[in-house]
Amino acid sequence: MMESVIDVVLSGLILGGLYALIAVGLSLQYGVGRVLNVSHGEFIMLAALATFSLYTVAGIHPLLAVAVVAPLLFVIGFALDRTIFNDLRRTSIDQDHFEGRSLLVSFGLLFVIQNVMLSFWGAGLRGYSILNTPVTILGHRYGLNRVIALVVAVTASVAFYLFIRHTRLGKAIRAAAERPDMAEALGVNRRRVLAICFGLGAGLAGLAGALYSMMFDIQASRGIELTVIAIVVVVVGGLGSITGSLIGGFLLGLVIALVNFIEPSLSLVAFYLIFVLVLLIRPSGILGRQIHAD
Amino acid sequence: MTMLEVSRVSHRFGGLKAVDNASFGVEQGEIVGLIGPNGAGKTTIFNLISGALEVQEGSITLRGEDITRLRPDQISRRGLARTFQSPKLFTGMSAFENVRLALIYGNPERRFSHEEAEREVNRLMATMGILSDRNKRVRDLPLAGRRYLEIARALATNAEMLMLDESMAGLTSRELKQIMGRITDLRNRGMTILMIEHVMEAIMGVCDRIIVFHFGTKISEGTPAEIAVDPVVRAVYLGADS
Amino acid sequence: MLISTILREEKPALVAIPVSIVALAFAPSVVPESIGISLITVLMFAILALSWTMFSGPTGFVSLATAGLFGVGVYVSAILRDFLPIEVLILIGGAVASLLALAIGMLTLRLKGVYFILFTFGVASLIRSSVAWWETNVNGTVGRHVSGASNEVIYLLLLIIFAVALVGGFLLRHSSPGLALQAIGENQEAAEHIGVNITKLKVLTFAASSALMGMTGAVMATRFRYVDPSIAFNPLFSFLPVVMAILGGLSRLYGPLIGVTILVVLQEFLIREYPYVYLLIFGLTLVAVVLWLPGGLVELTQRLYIRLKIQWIKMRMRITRFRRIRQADRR
Repeated sequence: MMESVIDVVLSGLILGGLYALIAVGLSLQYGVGRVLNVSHGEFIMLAALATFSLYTVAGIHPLLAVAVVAPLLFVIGFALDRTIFNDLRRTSIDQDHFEGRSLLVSFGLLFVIQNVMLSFWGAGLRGYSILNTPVTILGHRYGLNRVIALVVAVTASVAFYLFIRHTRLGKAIRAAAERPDMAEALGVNRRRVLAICFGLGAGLAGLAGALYSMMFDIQASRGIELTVIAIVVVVVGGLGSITGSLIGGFLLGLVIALVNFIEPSLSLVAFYLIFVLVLLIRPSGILGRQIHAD
Repeated sequence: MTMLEVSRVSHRFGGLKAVDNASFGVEQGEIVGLIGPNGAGKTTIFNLISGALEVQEGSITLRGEDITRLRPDQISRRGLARTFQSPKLFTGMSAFENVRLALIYGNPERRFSHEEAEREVNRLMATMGILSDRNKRVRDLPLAGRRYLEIARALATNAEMLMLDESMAGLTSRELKQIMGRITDLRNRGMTILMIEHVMEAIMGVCDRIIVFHFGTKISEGTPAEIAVDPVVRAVYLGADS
Repeated sequence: MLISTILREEKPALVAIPVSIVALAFAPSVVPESIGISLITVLMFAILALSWTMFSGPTGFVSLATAGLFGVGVYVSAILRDFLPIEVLILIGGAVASLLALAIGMLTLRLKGVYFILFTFGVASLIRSSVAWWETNVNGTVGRHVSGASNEVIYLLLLIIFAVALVGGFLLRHSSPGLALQAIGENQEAAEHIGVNITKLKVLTFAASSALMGMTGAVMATRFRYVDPSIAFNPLFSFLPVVMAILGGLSRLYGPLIGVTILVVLQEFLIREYPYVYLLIFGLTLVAVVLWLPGGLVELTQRLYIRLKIQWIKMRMRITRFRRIRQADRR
């Protein structure tokens, strides 16, 4: 019995770590910039494919490739926000209007990035094996790559959390997110902060993609699955709360690991059921801002 | 006859009690002013009366009929209309269409022909002095025009009682006199009016009776003259001009 | 009120609608076979886009549940195909879809903005995964074979549903419920306070539009001939009609139809030559439309129309002035 519990918990943490990492980038983009970036999964997949190519063609270790891929995606994300989403912000009537429009635009981006991926890498499955050696933790065997991915995910999450809480830029980000008017008054360059946040989100997608490529097979069309995971985690954790996405990711990972243990075929159903129930019962999620019926 | 009766109504937002055991009444044909510092619960009370917020405790009756649990559209159809602190207009439509919509939906038992509707909308807009703005888009209207439009729209629902939420804020002195006159006109033609206001000139000039709110409940009421010298009110209202 | 308004304001539409339906009725016999088959796809998306616009257009509540409602119709057909005639299947498909929509509608009453969008997406996904689980674990199958129907029959049935959607959408736009839906979209709280029963109106409209989606699904099952959850509830059935409607423009009835035609033609055309380019075009078009042409192609045509009119008026003024000068010269 105890064995099963440990197995479920460890699997859940590993899964949850990945979920959290996938989600936190999106949470940043929505939490601060109010952009529900449905092309987030495509960014992740793009990074995964790039990492794959860097490894199979140039022999660059994925964990090193991160140093190239993540900043590159950051720049792309920054540029996108500074141009397109900034323009949308200026010309939208109110927040709901902006959120709807930016959703549609990110949808268009989804198609564009899909096209890029399909054109360069084709539609087939890609993958590589690395660090597949099994490692035994508390009597259970897991691939080393997954354990490393978990460690990196947790480290990145904690580092990110500390960054948001304690650095000047992090505080500026939070100010821009929670009290945009005050933030402007206090001299925070809101446009730049928003673009940085979007870029950071994309950069985190890059990190997630590199790790993902170490653990799973890659396919251009799978980006959407990742986006869905990210959205569900972000909603469960609380739309707008970055810490919430971290917690939500791990929580969801544990729940799904549990479902996988009891009845694996129901894991997808459970996933969407939780999503729907959270939206119905507590739309603000675990840590999100309370939504008043106004 | 008592038009509106609010009995022991309370409302909490999470831990905060915005309205605390509030009770007051409005007689038919009166203009009653509802004043009090910011955060005293005045708009919350409006929201509770109009159905925008669910009443947790207490009861509200309109002409003796219990409207506590009714939806806003049901309450509107029973003759109670309101405006909002910042006008909630249908910005994509013209001023005319704003009023026409209210006419159609506010009077479900009547069927208007195109000409009848047009005549009625014109009449209502003329009452508020905005007939010339008929075809303008809402965003092209100045503040006073938008306030008048919201009132005209409220009137289109065949209202017998009107609740105005700070309709006079931000108006010039001339516009203020104009709106005060129009509101008095409405009352003289049988309308009952309850108005939240901060503009003291309007309150003192137009109201028959004033209710003072603080911390979510009524702390005093009386005629303008009585309220002006009420020590409780003066203490609460430091800084307000009267 | 309704009829007189229509007669007054919408004369072109009164002609265009019957003409286009009749034209579509004769189209298959006039055009080559390959285009005729594409027409089925065009009609399917046209109905989905029109019915999506019926609710989501005026209210601004973007629904991504279309795939769920469509798929429900597909499955009704797939399950009952051997027992009932197709006309009955269509009606049942529509009924089941609208009941589902009623349930969804009642649940989403307090959700707005992005939460509503996400919820509808979640529900559609939940339906898909639940059906998948049920089919695999309870029924032991993954997919089902559905006996087909001839292309002519499918086309005719879709055309009838399309006609209903077109006429229904038209009537709705010009009725007071239609106007009230717009009011809800502009300011839901204000609409409520002037006497609109927003719950009833939203739920009924959503259910009606969903009935059309379900009926279409029931027909399309006979076209797919093999259905499984990923086919019937394909998320593209939720996303593409939205893209098509927005591209075309939501302010006029024909807007979504333009969007549908362009995108289906593009897809059929490009998918053979440049299989992935159509994605790029979709994406870029969507971004461009949202940024610069929020009213869609309808807005573009309206702007062009106004500009042409102005040119025409200027030209006529010049001619008149010219004539007057000539007359003055002669005297």
